[in-house]
Amino acid sequence: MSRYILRRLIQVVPTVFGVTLITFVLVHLAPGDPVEVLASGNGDAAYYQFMRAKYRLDESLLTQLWTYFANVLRGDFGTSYLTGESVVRMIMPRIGSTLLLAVSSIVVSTLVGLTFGTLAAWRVNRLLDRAVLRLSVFVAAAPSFWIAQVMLLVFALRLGIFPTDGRNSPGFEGTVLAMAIDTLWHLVLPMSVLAIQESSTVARLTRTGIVDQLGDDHIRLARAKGLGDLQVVLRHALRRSLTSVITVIGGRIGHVFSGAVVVELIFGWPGLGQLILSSSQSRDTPVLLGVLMLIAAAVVLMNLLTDLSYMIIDPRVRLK
Amino acid sequence: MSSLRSRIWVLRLISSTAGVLVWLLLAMAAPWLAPHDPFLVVGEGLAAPSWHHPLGTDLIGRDLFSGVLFGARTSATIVVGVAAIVVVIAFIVGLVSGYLGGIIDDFLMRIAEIFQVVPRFFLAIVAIAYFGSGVDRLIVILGLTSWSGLARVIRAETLSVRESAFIEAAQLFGSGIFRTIFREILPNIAPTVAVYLTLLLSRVLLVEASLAFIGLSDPSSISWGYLAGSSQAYLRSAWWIAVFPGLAILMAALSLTSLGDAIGRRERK
Repeated sequence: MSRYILRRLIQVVPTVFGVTLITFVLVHLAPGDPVEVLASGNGDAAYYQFMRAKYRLDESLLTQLWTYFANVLRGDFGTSYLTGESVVRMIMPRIGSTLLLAVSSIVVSTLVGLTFGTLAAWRVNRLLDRAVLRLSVFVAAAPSFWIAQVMLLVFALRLGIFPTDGRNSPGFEGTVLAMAIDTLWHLVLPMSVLAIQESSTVARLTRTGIVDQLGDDHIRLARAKGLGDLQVVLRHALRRSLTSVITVIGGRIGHVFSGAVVVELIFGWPGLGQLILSSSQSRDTPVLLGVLMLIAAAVVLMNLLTDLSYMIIDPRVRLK
Repeated sequence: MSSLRSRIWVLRLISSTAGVLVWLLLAMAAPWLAPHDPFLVVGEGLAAPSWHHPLGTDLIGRDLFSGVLFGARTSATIVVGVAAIVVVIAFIVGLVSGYLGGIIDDFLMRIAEIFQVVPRFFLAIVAIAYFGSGVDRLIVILGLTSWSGLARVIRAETLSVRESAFIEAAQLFGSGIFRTIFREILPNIAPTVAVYLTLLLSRVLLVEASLAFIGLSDPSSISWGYLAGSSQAYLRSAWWIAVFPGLAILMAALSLTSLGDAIGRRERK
């Protein structure tokens, strides 16, 4: 088992490396000179020369790549072209915000999706089942910004139940608990937008997972013992379909991060998505590379974690 | 399959195909159907939906209805273009991988994996930010980042078909590689590919819309995502700019997914 874990851990490295390599090459192939960003359009030839040397832009792509990876291994992601601030210091305060948004929406959507999926499977091919399926197809086809703006229009602007933007009310001061409640209040709308779409995936997976087992022997045995439909589904079929729900969490984290970019923009949520947008608009390469590498690593690690949890749930995987 | 069920299925297939066709027709006929040039100021700014402007106007008084019609054109162009790139790459990689196997298979699948790990949305943001945005570049970027899933599906299907008895029989009768692929394997994997492709394209449509929403669309052609993105600052005063373009995206994506669903149901019977 430990050998399996070790092998999977080693597989993480080339994938994260590959992702960074692709973005690195892409960014350096792009037309335009990063020095112009550094000098913000001003400065003479000598200054350009100086900046080029300072940021090692005059070296070959391979050398630059090598230096970059060597620095990253030491925990140094470089400094922002725009502000001169260390990339790590720019990313750090935003990680919490995005994680809060991503993790809460994954937890909520998993619970909601499991509930709706189980309900649909319990009433398979009946009205409730069809309604859940229709709703999930509808939700999956809606652009996230549309859901976000409609919710903003209804719940924040029309009804005024939730705030329109930010992570805390402006100038808010109070105890830690009051602060947390205020953040939670701001979190509801952006989190819901991400969770609505994610829960449709989970609901469909749960439903299919349960329905596929309904003809199986262990379900027929449970029925023969006199258990009702709901009990059969809850006690016997749901457990097995949990594995398929867990295995997709890794893939969903990437999806949630993508969705977070749009959601953070709409709700003014101070996370990594905003940083990606602003740094790509200003062509601030070191910041962009840093955030992307972090996201790739998070996605790969989540995949690894789901694989491992899968192994604990389903002993058959351990033998391979 | 009972006759009632098969009739319902035919109805579904017809209605979803019709949905996709309407979208493509609107896209082609936009210049004749649109009452105004979508870039031209033709009325008061931020006017609510009315007889003159069925979907209202934007900040500077451009007709939103015309904008949505021309948006159909942009999204259809991008989706069709991406479909072409994805199909070509995925078929080559999937068939080669599945048919030949071995080291080539391993290598191609590792590459596919890398493309699956990075969310294509982020790669697209980086690429557009650095190479500038345009319909042509959007098609290339979305195409190059979307083929891996379909390639895996084609590989898996090829593998399972390759093992089956009729392929063995065909080869026994002297059918060459290309003949086997084109006459035996392709027809057998086509339905699965169609189902996957329609679902993929509905996602591509949504990714393109999100990119345009955050301001990375082609400045010379109006798109649904761009229209929705421009609404953000005037949500309080002009709900229609946010609601209608998004509704158009929803309908287009829905018609694509239900088409895939209808084809898929046929397969499962």
